[in-house]
Parts: sequence; C-alpha cells; structure tokens
Amino acid sequence: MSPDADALVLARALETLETVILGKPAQIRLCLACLLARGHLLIEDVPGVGKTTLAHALAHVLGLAWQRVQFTSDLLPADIIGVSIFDRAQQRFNFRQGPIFTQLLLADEVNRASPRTQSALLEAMEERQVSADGTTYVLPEPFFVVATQNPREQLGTFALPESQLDRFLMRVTLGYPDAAHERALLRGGERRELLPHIGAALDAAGVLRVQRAVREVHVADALLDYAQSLIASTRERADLKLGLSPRAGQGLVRAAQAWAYLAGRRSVLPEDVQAVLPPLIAHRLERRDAEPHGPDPGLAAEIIRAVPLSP
Amino acid sequence: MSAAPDLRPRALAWSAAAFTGGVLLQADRLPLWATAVSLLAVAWRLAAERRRLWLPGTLQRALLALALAAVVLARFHTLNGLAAGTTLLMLMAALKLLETRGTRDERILVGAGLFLLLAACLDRQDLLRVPLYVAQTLLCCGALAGIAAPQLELLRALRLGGRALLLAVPLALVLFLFFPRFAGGFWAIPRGDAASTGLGDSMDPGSIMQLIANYDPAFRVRFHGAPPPRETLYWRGPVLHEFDGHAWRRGPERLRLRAPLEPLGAPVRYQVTLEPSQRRWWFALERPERAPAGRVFLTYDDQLVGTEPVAEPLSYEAVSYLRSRSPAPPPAQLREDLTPPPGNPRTRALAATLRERAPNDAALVAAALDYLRSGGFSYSLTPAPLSADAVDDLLFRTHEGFCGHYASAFVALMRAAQIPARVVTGYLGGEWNPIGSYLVVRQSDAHAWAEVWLAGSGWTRVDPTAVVAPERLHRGVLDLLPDAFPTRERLLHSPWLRALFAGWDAANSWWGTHVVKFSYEGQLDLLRRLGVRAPDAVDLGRAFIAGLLLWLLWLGLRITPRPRGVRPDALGRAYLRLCRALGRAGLTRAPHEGPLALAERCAIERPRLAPAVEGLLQRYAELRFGRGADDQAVRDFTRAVAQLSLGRWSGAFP
Amino acid sequence: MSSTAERALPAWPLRWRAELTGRFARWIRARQGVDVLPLRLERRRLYILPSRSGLAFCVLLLLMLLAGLNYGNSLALLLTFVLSGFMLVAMQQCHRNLLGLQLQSASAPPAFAGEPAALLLALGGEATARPRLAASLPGATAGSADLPAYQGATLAVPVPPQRRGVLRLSRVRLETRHPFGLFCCWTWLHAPFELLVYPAPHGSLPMPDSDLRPGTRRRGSGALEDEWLGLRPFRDGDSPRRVDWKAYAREAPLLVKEYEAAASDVRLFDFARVPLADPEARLSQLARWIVDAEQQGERYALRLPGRTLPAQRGPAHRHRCLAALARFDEAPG
Repeated sequence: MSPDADALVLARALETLETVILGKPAQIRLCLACLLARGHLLIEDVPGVGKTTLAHALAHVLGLAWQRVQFTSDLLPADIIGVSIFDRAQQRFNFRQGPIFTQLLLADEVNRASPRTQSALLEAMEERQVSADGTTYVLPEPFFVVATQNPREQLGTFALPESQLDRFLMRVTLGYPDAAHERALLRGGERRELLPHIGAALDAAGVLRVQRAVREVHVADALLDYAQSLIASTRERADLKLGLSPRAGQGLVRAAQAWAYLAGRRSVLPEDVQAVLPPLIAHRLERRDAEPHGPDPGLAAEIIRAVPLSP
Repeated sequence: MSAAPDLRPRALAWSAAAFTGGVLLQADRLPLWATAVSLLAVAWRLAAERRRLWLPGTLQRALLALALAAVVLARFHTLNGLAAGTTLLMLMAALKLLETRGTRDERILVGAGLFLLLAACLDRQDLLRVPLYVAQTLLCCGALAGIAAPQLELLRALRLGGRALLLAVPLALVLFLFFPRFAGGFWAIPRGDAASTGLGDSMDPGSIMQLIANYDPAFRVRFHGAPPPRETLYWRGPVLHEFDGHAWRRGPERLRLRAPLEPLGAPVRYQVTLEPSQRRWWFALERPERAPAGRVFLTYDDQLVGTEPVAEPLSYEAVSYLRSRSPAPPPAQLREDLTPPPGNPRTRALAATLRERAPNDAALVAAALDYLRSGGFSYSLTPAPLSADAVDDLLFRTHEGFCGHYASAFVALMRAAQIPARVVTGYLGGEWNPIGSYLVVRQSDAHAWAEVWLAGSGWTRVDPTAVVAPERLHRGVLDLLPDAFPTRERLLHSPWLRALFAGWDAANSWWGTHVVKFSYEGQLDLLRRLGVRAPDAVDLGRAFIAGLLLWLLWLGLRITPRPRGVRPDALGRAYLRLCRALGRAGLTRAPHEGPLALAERCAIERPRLAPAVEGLLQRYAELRFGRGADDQAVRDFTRAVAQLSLGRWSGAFP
Repeated sequence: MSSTAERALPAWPLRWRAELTGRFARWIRARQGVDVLPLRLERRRLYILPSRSGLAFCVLLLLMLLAGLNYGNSLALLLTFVLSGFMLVAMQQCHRNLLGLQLQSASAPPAFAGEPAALLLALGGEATARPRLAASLPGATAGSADLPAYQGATLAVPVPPQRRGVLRLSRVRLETRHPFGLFCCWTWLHAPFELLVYPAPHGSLPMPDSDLRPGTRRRGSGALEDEWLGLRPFRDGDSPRRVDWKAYAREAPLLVKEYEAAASDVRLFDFARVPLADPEARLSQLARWIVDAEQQGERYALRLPGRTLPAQRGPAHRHRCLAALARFDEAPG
C-alpha cells in the first residue's frame, strides 16, 4: 500500500476508535500518534474510565499481536520476560518466552507491581530486547508497551521512578466522560463487547511502514529552533523541579512528526509540537510546590504561551 | 503572558552584591565584628535561597536589631558618630537582607550599598580608592538594572548601568563645577579618631627617629615663583621650651600672638596642602609673615597652631621671609627659655667654661658650634642609648646621634650658658616633583634645630646638625644613611620607583587640590577664569542651569542606540506584514500562535477574511516549515501579501 | 463602564483615590479622544513619573547632597551628582522606550465566561528594540513582553474572568519601567476593543436527540454513495435496516452500521425547549451541547427567540452559535 493509502486507513481507524471510546477524540489521536512515533504509552486515570478498553482498541485497530498482563504486587520479572525450563528430553534449558514477546504489550495497572518487576519491563522497553540467563532475545518489531496506571494516591501501589517514567513517550489522561457521552455510555452497554467487531485497519507490516513514513515527515530548521526554545524554556523555569531531558526533546520532535502525519501533512508545524507537548510533559515536569504527579493542565499552556514563535 | 520563570534569586543576588560591595568598602574602617556579621547575613540569605534554610521571623529580627543596636552603642558610646551611624546602618541593612521578599526590599539594599559608598566618600578621599568607589557605583547601578529585569545576564545589566552612568558624567561635571556650594555644617557628626601622625608636642632624642623611617608625605608646597634653595627650607613646626633632662616639651598652652616681623629681603609666597595628621600644627617656612587665612594662630614663638586637629587635607596660602629680624619679646618670656637643664653636670661645667672664654653671646654660640665640629661627633641614626643625663652622655661619652640629639644638647648647653634658647622641630628640605612642579615634604624629612636669642639679631636659627653633618642640608636622610632604613622605605626610594612615585604623587596632589578641596572659592575662581567679572552665587546658578540645559539637549538629540536582534528574512518580513494586515482587520496573532492556528481562528472569528487569508497562511507554513523554499516562491508570497487588501476592522464583532 | 471596574468598594481613602484616578482618566480621555489603530505613540500622550523606588532614590540623593554640602566633601558631592545624572538618564531612557512605539492592532479572541481571556496588542515592527513593555486593564494584572528589533511582538493583556456578554474594554494602560525601574512611563489607549464572552459550557442535561426537521430528506440510510464508517451500539430509534444482523447472528450485541452521511444527523438546540428556569442556565446548557456536538462532529442547529441558525458544523458555525448565545438578550445598539 502507498503511504497515502496508509494515511487514509489510519484516518478510518481513528474514526472507528472514536466510536468505541466516546467523546475522547483528542486523547485517541494522541495515543495513536504516540505508537506511530515508536513511543510507549502510559495511560493514567482513575479506574473505570476505559483505559483498558482504549488499549485493547488500539491493538485491534493496528492489527497487532498483543498480550495483556495484569500487574500485581506478586508478579515477578520472569512472569513477564519468560523463564528457562530444563527440558529433560534434550537435557538442556529451554527459554520459555514470557508475554513480553509480542507486538503490543498491555501492562495493566503497572504501578501495582513491585519496583523490580517494573524495572524489568522498563528495561525491555528501552532496549527492545531482554536478557535471560546470559542470552539476549530480541523483541518483535514493532514493539509497544501500553501501560495503564492508577494515580499514585491509590493504596498498594509503587510509583514509577522519574527516570523510568521518561521512557514513556506520553502520558495520556482520559478523564470522566462529559454528560452527553456518559448518557450514551449508559445506554450503549459494555464498550468492550464491541472490540471483536472492529476490523483491523493495519497489520504489523503496515505499522512498520507507517513508522518509517512518520520518520520521513520533514522537520525544518525553523521548527527545530522552536522546539529547542520550548525545551530550553522548561530548563530555565525556576518553578519546575527539572527541565525536559534530551530524550524527551527527541520524543517531542518524533511525536510532532507522527501528529503531522496523522493530520496528513508532509512537514511538521509548530502547531503539531504544541499539540503533543501536553501529554509529553505530563509525567516529566512537575512544579516545585505542586502535589506530586497531580494533573497540571495549565503547565503546558503556560510553557507554550511563554515561548513566542518567531516569524 | 504567562508567569515568567522565577528569577527572584538572581535579583536577590544583585542586591546582595551591591550591599556586599558597600560593606567591603568600609571593611577597614568599621569594626571587624560588624563587617563579619554583615557578610554572614549575606551568606546566610544566599544559602537560604538555594536550600530553604531557616530564616529569622519578624520577632527574632526585631530582637536581633535591638541587640545589634545595643552592641553598637556599647562599642561607640554614641549612635551619632559617622562610624557608629554607618555601622548601625550596615547592620540594619544586613537584617533587612534576611527578610527580602520583593523588588522593593532588594532596591532598599542597593540604597544601603550606595549609602555605605557615601560614608566611604565622606571618610576617605584618596585617589587610590577612587577606582573602588567607581566600581561600587557601577555595581549598584547594574544591580538596579538587574533587579528590574532579572532575566538580563550579568554583563548586560552592568552595561546598562554603566552606559547610563557614562551619559550622566557630563552632567555630574557641570553640577560639580557650578552647583553652588554653601559651605559649612548644617549639623555636626563627630568623626571617629584616627591615629595622629607627624611631629608631636614633645621630643625625646629617639622620637624623631620614628618619623624619619616614614616615607609618607606630610605636606606639599607649590611656590608662587622660583623655589628657594633647598638648604634654606626649614619648615617650622612645634617649638619646644621645657626640658626635663631627657625630653623636650612644648610646655603649657599659652595664647600669645606674635608681634609683626621686621623683614629682611624678599618674601616667599607659596601654597601648602597639609595631609591629615590629626594634630594642630600647620607648617610654614621660617619665618611666616602672618597667620594664613583660616582657623589658625601665629603664636609668639613663630609657630602656626590651628584651632582643630587637621583631619582632612587642608590648603592655605602663606608668606614667609627667609631672613628677618624678630621683635624683642618681653623679658619674662625670654626668661622662660633660660631654664637650665636639670642634672647634666658636665654640660653645665662646659657651659661655664665657654661663658668665661667668650666675649659675647654670638661668640659663645660660635665656640659651642666649634666644639661640636671638632669634638669627633658623628651623624648616626642608630646611636648608642643615652642614660638619664642625656646631654652629658652625648657630649662626653657617645659622640653620636642625629638632629634630635644635637638640637637638644645644643639648646641645653646654651641655656646652661645663660643664653635664651629653644628647640624647633619641623621638616628640612623636601623632594621636588618635576611632574607637578611642587615640593613634597615627607615625614622622613623631619628635623630638629635650635634657636637662640641674640641681642641685636633677635631669635636666630642655629642648626647643630648642619655642623656635624653638613651634607644633611642638601640631601634627605635616606640618601645619607640608606642602610638605617627598612627595606620598604629603601625600595620606595629607589630611583626608578621614585619617578613612578613622582607621577603618582602629582596625580594625588592634583586630585587633592582640584577635586577633594574644590570649594565655593574654587567655583568663583573658575568663573573668573571663564571671564565673569566679580562672580557670585547667582552667576554660579546661571552657569549651572545653562550646563544642565545643554546636557539635556545633548541627551535628547543623541542618536538612538543600534537595535539588537536579528532582522527576519524576506519570508519572515512578508509574514509579519500579513500579520499586521490581519491585525488591522481585527485578528491579532498571539505571540505563540502558529500560522495554521491563526488561519483556524480567522475562519472562526473573521470568516469573511478567511478565503483571502487561509491560503496565504498555509503557503507561509509550507515555505517556512516545508522542504526548502526557493527565492521565487518567497517573492511570489511577498507579492501576494502586498496585494492583499483586508480593509480595516471597525471594532465591532460581526 | 467596563465591568472590570466592578470590585468591592474598599475603605474611603481608596475610594477617594479611585475617584481621583477616575476623574483623571476621564480628563485624559477627553484630551486624547478615541484612538484609531494603527498609531504611533507621540510625546503628548506619554506620561512619566518616578516610581515608588524612584522617589526613594530621590530622597537618598537629597540626603547625599545634604551630607556632601554639610561636610563640604567634594567626593560625596561628585557621587551625588553622578547619581543625579544617572537618575535623569534613567528618566530619558524610560521615556524613550515608549516614545514612537508603533501600535499595529488589537483584538481579543472570544473566551468562555469564567475563564481568563486576553486582549492581544500587536506592537512594534520598527528597527528599535523595546524591552519590558507591560499593558493592563484597569484593576487587572499586567501582561508583559519584550519587543525585539524589526520583529514586533504581541502583548497579551490579561482580562480577568468575565460574565457572558460583550465586554467593551475601553481603556488599556501601556507602560514601561525599563531600564532601572526608577520611573514609570505610560500611556492610555482608548479604542473600542470588544471581547465576546461565550456562556460557560455547563449543564448535565442530555443532548436532544437528532431532530429531523420537516422537509429534510433523511440521507444515507444504506444508500450506495455513503461510505461505511463502522459499528456503534444500537440506540433506541435506530432504523432496523441499519442493524448489523450478521453480527447479531454471531451472538454479538445489537450493532448499527454507521455511514458517513448518516452520522451527520441534525440536532436542534432550541432555547425554548431547554427545561431550565434560569435563562443564563439555559444558555450555559446550550453552550455545553454546542461544544460537545462540535467535538463529536455532529451537525447542529440553534434556535433562539427571534433567531435561528441553520444546521451546520465546523468551527465557524460553532463560533456563530456561541456568539449568538453571548449576545443573547443584548440591549440593542
């Protein structure tokens, strides 16, 4: 299929997703952009707003092989990565791949697992490979992690450390549906039942193709200047604990490319950068005096407004 | 726009720097503990800014303020003195620093820095310190800029302040020259005591030695006319009358003015600028015609005694006659200078012998000098110590000493021989500064000589040292006996440094007379030189206003500074033009708004413009952010923007 | 007058002061007349006074002068004179920072009630850089911007949250304290700036169902030209012809096939039919629906007493509808 055809298919996929997750078109678009930018996605919200449904729907629409792991406090790294089992017949150890060997891993309630398990997952996310018993196993391509988590205030959770949060490209918050959609939800019944009936818009090869196309979306020098001054402004602000890392900066440009691609553009505009900035900084920047990990919708707008766009 | 990034720590650092500068300027004048407390407060506040240390609350600060004020009171016994007042102000400002919260507090601290600078200016005016004062002024002005705009970098803020200061310099000069100076105190603040230097009101044989080792200038002299030969330059200081066998004293304070002098020969006119000595002596060549204008008396023993110690550089005009005849004093006064030396039996015996042989007083004086010349006496700055009968010891045992010894011994000998005599201390000679064409008289030129009363010629100067070491008249002590001095003085005296010092001394002297001592008289004199006849304060006011107006005119006409910032390229300019046209039509681009967002807003808020504008905005987005824009495309875009006509928005919404 | 001035009246000194500034403002307004943008700030409309710090600096200078004269101390006097000159230079620089400033245009993007809004002033474009300009509405906080040379900049003047309606911002104060904060130079702009304040989108009533107005043909029910879009759960009132019976046969729930055109059923939001007593609450509810419907990509029409906006969608339509709500009941003229 041609890139343009892919774009059309993606547009269709987006619309399909919107019929499953009602009233959240912006978040859905962001999630898709995140995956197309080869980024891992963190969906954070209170239980019951459709986090898991969204993750399922993404996997369906992209036509990827997926696994779901419900994280619990007794989950061990081996439960995700896999384990070597002694094969009596062949007299040697065989590695039995864990659920991580898939194209889309849905890590449900990732902050319920112990830090050790979390770090095993996050390491795999970064390296796109796992090591067990001295052997390195490359994870399939594409490989995404869509993790969901409850806000930290919930009991029995282990917060992800900041350095590991940085490995998620975006953090998306769904929020309660508005009144009209709540009504539709109440009437429409269980949204998840719709999932099997959604056709896949793409397949693994298609996703890789789209990812390549995203990387080719043009980034002009003027845009790099703008992105750079945005990033720099977060480092200059004294009211933030930390500025954006260089990795986050790369992510910003990649995500903006994906956003531009979804909008059918061949080059990135400042508007694309501004659109992906909020989920990009949601889990990275914190005000000094703010509640930890509290939602701060005003911050992104503040950062954007503070950096003028030169003509 | 959104809340700016928090830049308060930088503003705080500026105010702390301005204050610290003021504290350091005063560090050598104010008590060490006060400086330490102030610097500690600065360090504390800056550290607290970085890592949220505890800072005192209102009550603690009030208590601390009271405690510090009490300590100042206990140390100085007053809060009114310059040093005490400055210390108190500094400590209170340091406390203020601990509670700085906003721009206002920070500016107050800069004010404190300027006030400390003012106190330093009041206290000391050496040329050497002027660069420090300039630096502190610059720092304070830079701090004002830095506090007003904390996002400025250090150098930019300093440059802003420095630029404004440079522009202010012409006006400052106008004000300095023409602002009418009403002399004199509205209120008096006692000054702190400073150590007194120079000749004292007593002399024992060793006291002059301490002065001779000091290379600091005592005063400078500018002759109106050719300077007299060096060996005649006896600068008269304290005259000592009372002798206890070892040391000489001035004796009880008596206010007796001198009768007019009978001059022999031409007068020497000159201007003397005294360095602060904290003593009351003014110096003049032997012998002054009358007391110079100022708070000074010419006493019966030809000495100039001021009413107050000299605390600041002081200039006066003086007239002296190198040769003169003093009027006959009342016999009672003469008798005071006849008191024979206590003890010293061998001296008395020598005096008796001389008296028997000599036909008159003049011959006796000559005989005594002969005795010194031929008796194997030598000039030495490290003489053997003398016992209680110091005169006997010198004349008959050690045979070595310097001016103080010989003057003392000679006067004692004269008195023992019934000739009225007294010791005169002062300076001899001086160093000619060819750059400034003036004479520097240093402490090392200190000298002591004798004066005897001879019927017919009056009080006559006799310098026994000149008999023992005739070369002393022509050269300074340092030249004479270099090895007797510490290294520093010797080094200062080396020829190549001497040239350097002559330059520095000339600058210092110019600074002292033309800047530090510039006064109302100086202002009038300047006007006179500018051609105003009989100038007064009104003329000064006129000159001042004229200068002010000229400066304002100059400031107003000054070309605007070169713009900073980069001019946008052709595409950017065309886009700005488009944005301006849109603005006139009622759609203003927000600072962060991208072209497509603007187009979208246009469709919403000004749908009628949208068809004309949307395409252009999209075109701009493609050209700016797309894959390379060729010049032709940019030109086309520019032309399209130029042809665009959107009309003007009436102000009302559709 | 403008509703930004509506603040609780404080104690009498402040009231007195407010009265005085008000009188002064009216005088200025009468003196300057209404401004027509673009304009260039001329000398006669710039006012300059020392700021509070500037006054304190003056007092400091006076003290220094007294001390210098008292001691007859030339160095202290010289310092005083240098600083006096510095003060005057600061005044001139402050004044020049505003003099000749080009004010290109001003406009205010519409905002929802209760949310902060902004008046955008487009400034500059000349070859002079003008740092630290600030602008404010009476009684509100100031927005600030640095104006780089050549480029010009937009200064966003914050407008505090407002009530629904059309807000007339009659007066903007543009000031600068550059470079040392010792002086404040300012000017007043009087131009008919208008800010449209939409009603705040509030209300939890469900959106009225698609309402087919008489005369509209129901397009797209399975017609060939419509593109299949996807499935959505069955709702009451859906045509049985569009139910995906094959899926139902596979024991899926009742699903409805959606088509491009079919998705654009028209919703009619009628002021008269909102079951709320308070007209403002009705307007808020209507705003809520408009925002939601637009977000869902639905077509909607708005009917207000005496005015009907035909069904459409898109941001411009949304704006028209919300603007109509904002101007609802507006006194004519």
